[in-house]
Amino acid sequence: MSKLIIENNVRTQRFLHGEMTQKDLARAVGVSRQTIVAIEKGQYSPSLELAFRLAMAFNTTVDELFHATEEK
Amino acid sequence: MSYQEQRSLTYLITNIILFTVYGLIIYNRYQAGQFDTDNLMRFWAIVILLYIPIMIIARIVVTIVFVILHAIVSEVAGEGADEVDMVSDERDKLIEMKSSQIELILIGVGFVAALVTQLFGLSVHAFFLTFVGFMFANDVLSEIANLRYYRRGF
Repeated sequence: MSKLIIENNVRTQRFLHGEMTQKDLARAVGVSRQTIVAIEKGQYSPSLELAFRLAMAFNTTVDELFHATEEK
Repeated sequence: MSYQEQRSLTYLITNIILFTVYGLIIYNRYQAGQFDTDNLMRFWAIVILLYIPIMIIARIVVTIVFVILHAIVSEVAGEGADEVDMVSDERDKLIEMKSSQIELILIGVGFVAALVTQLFGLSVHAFFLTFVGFMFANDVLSEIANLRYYRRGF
């Protein structure tokens, strides 16, 4: 089975929401700032619950925030 | 370096210092004949059963001192102590679980290695030294694993 590469638009969404800081986003979803950094860099894939929390924080859907591509 | 990395590094250094100091104290007392060396099992029981509460108390003290120092340093640096950096979240729990896996493996391997010393007819000291050595390696490696996981994101 090929590996899934999960990418996200968290950085873009922060920009679209008045350049929201990582700290503010972390506070809004209840995680540490380092976790937001890791998610933005694509180093960490959040749980489904956190993905929904992030989507809610940006008034968007998980589908719009995260997308996966298969590694070739 | 993030708060979590600094904390792991602090624990790593504390583990190394405590183990070395405790080991030296026990070794010197043993050499000075301050232990009942006729009953080696009792001697090792005392050594290990004393080490566990010392480690627990040391971990609590180090955690308190670390949090206070981190808050002071952040305040002095003008960043201000922020609880957002200190929050324990799902990534922390996953990293904790991964390092616990390493701990379990090392404890298992340590016990088997200690049993192997008895297979070759080595002394009770060899059994416990092997086991305690793996316990120390377990403490050090799990913190190194924590550091590595935090550094690479997960």
